[in-house]
Amino acid sequence: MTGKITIDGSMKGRLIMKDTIKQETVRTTFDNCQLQHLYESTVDITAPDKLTMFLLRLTTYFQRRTANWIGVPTSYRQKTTKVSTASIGVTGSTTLREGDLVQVLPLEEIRKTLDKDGNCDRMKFLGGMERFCGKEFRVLKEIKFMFDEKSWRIVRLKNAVLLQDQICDSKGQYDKEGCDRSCFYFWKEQWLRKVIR
Amino acid sequence: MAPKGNKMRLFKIHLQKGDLIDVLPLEEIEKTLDNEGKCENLIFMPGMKKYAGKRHRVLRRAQLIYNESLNKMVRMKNTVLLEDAICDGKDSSGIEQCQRLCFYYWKEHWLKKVT
Repeated sequence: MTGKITIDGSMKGRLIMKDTIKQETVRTTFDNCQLQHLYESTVDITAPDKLTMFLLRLTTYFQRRTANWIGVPTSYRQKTTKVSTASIGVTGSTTLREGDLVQVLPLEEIRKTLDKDGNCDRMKFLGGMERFCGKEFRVLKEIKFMFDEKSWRIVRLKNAVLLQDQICDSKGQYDKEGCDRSCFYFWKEQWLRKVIR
Repeated sequence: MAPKGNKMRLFKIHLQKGDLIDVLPLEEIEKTLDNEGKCENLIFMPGMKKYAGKRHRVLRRAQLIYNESLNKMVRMKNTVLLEDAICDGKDSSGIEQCQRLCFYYWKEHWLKKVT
């Protein structure tokens, strides 16, 4: 099927998404993404699945409680509430390209870019991304457009990249524990520093 | 293409993470598809053709996935993700711009375990 993408009139329309919001609406008509047909092949979860998910949530909950109790800062929610709003919007971003070597900023520096909801430019920094802090990775792709399942259209992203080998394992995601989708994490350029050697 | 309802190779393989597999040749995959290009309701995308006949490693079994549009978890059967088998949007007309790099979903019936 042939698709046609047209940019929505004045580009003023804004979407509100849960995790990745800084986009401008792009209208599109297409029917050629596996995600559009994926749910036809799915069935409702079973009682053992619900039990497994519940246990995973419980495990994560106690891990966080234990970590907080012994003073290991793992929960971005708790830390971000302490960050003053003056630090929101720290930039210093560069335009990263595919193949660039980058270092993920330390967690403390990333937290300075987050607002009280744990977002930077309305993109959420997830708990599962904390383990990559301080490490070096290569940029896999710059993200400018992506298909948004919720609004069922192509949306635009700004200053976001994917990094190699950084796949979501769903740990620490309350309502998504046990998800096997293996999506790449989205990274704001403000959370990365280009490594030049 | 096989008529709708044609059931081919519908035996269970139960691939696990790390298993080495060969993707079946395109002709064999097409035998498993109905007239809508689906096997057990999972569509075989044009972008997946380039992986036919090649060797890959299983990244993960896709058993539970999060349905973003319905905000709930759903279950999949006999489906796996393969390492480096990623949709770059280029082979899907109308969605060329998508840069999300999702992993393709593969029915086990399209794969053969390397022993």
